[in-house]
Amino acid sequence: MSGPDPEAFAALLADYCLEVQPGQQVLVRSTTLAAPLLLALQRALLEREAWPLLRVSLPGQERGFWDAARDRHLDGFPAVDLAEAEGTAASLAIHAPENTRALAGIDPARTARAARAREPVREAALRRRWCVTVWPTPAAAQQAGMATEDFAAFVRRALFLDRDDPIAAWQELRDRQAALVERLSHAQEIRIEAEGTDLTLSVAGRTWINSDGRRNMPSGEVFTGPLETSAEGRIRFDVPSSPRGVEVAGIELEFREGVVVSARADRGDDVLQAALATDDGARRLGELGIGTNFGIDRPVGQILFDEKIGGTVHLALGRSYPETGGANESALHWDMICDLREDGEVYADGELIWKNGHFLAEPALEVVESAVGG
Amino acid sequence: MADDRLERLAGVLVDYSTGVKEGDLVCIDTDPAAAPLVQAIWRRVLAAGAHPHLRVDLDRAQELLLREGNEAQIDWITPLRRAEVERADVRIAVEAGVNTRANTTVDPERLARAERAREPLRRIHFRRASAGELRAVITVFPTNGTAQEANMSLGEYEDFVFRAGLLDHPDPVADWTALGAGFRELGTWLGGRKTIRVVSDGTDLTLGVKDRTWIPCDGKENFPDGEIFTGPVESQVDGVVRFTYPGTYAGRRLSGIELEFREGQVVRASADEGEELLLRMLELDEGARHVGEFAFGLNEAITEFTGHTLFDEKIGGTMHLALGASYPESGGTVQSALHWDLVCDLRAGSEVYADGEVVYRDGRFVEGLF
Repeated sequence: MSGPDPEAFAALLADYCLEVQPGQQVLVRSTTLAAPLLLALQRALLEREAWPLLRVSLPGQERGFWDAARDRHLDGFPAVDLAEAEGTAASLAIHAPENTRALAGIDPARTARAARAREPVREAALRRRWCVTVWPTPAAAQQAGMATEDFAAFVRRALFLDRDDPIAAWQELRDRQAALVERLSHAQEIRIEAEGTDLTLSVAGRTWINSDGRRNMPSGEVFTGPLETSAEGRIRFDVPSSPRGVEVAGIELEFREGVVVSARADRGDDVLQAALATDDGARRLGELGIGTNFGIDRPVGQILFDEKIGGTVHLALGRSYPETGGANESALHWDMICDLREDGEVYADGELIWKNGHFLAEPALEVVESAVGG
Repeated sequence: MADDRLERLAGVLVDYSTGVKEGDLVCIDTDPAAAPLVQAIWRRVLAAGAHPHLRVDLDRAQELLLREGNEAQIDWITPLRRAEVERADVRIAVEAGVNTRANTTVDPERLARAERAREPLRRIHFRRASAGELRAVITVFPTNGTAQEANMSLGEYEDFVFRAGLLDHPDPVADWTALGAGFRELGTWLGGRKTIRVVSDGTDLTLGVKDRTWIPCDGKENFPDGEIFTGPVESQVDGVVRFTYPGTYAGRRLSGIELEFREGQVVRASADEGEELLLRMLELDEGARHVGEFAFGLNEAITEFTGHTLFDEKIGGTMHLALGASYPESGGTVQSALHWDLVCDLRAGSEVYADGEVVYRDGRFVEGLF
């Protein structure tokens, strides 16, 4: 089998991502296309003395909701949903799309309105253990521009399910990222240099987060929120991103005192300009992240994977994550990825700490990469 | 899909497009996802007293052959397949892929090799079709894969596909028949012209068409349909063309394609995206640098680009040309393993001249031509 093994995948989710305990009620959302994984999860949760609550949507169900929803459905939520979120110990969302463009024709204002109304449900779920992951489907493969089997093999590598002991591999990644976080937490100023890029940011007093695969599977990044007025210089993002379903490629941004003062894109420039005009916070950075997952070796058009490519950095325009100490507020959070694998350097307070995608002070990260190659 | 449009579509394909009659051998080539439509076709063929023969391809069979097969296997043409092409009275091909990018990671050289290997079958097919011995139609069954490519939900895409086939009309066959009559008049008139010149943003291309035949396409070979094409004189294509829509080849997308022609040959080619693949395709064989087909899209029910040639080349108000093989019935003589359609929108700021006179403006033929 070249794709992820459902049993190993289920064990990783139950024991590493959610750390399921006896008696817990665990909510699992996905589509019928994830049936092999869902059945393996059901068994894994039962074996761990937990209660699996499978919420499986049918082909066309999500689109059907948005087509038929009345005002009541956009401005509220069923009480059962909140009770479910409050009554469960953990929730797991498994993306397994049948068509990644199924909602392209839905007015974003409708989905945004419903998201606002559902905020209490979301908050209740986020107060408990949660995790987002993917099960490979032909639609996701098509989105990635890959044959279905190639994409399944890619997902397997990205989740370390090609390793003998995936959980141990994730624990190792967590430890190595902890060393990286330790080094970065002493840094005041970060400078990124590559072709078309020379950007300086201050991260003084901000917290670096070790994203170790428990909430996003896969993960493999460390991130913080840079000081909102600190970005100076310019950066070119060579990996395309699709914030609103439209691909934007070759983005170049120039910053002065933290604000974007000039912006252009080779493709999708109108989307970029519209995004920058969202609100005041959209012209400032909310996140600086470093991708460390060397099982992800190419962009596939899905941010869950792309921002974790080992040897890349990403910056997000817009909203920051409060746990980093970042204070930027915006309706936008757009991750843009800069590939540093072939030609790139990162300096911390003038000291070179990353070169061509590798952390210099802590050689252990390269061990992760060679294990993948082997 | 419980949809009476499927029954209508089956009826149009069997009764109108291919005119299935008692005793015909009807080969149906399809993919598993098309089962609901194929079942309707099967029943209709039986009702006509003909003999349906079904070949269902697995989604991944071709991909695996190209990836894992050796050269002898890629070159092999099974005699059973050859017998079908040689003996079928009717062929109905229903395409229904689940991943439009399935071949993206296949080596293009092997893909080209497979194309060349199938060339003899294509020749038999074209020869028998031109001689009236074989009635063959190709259609597309909507799947999430093609819908996603079109940036649509499956439901939206189904509506698009059935609208394009006029299947929302009370009597689609009557409408296709009437359209066909108009296309034929246009074809007769164009048949008397010597040169066509297309002028649009980034495009100024002149093609010789003297004594070539314009073929009206009214749903007999493609469904949906709506175009009129010819094979331009092989040495008489000059100028530049910039294609407004992306081209796709083997699941790869090429955009911003520009070609310059001199005396019928591509002398310069560039693309904003996929230029390397474009240049490789032009090297496929001698014919790949020539224009095998020039056509106008005439289907007014297709207004938007959806990333599938069957539909895109028929968008009302566009023109397309194909690099590679021509269709013998048009009088064209280009031979190639390639036949690659590229589409250019003419609905804004465009003019077409026939023998120096404006005959087409902003996507429509001018009134009172004939």
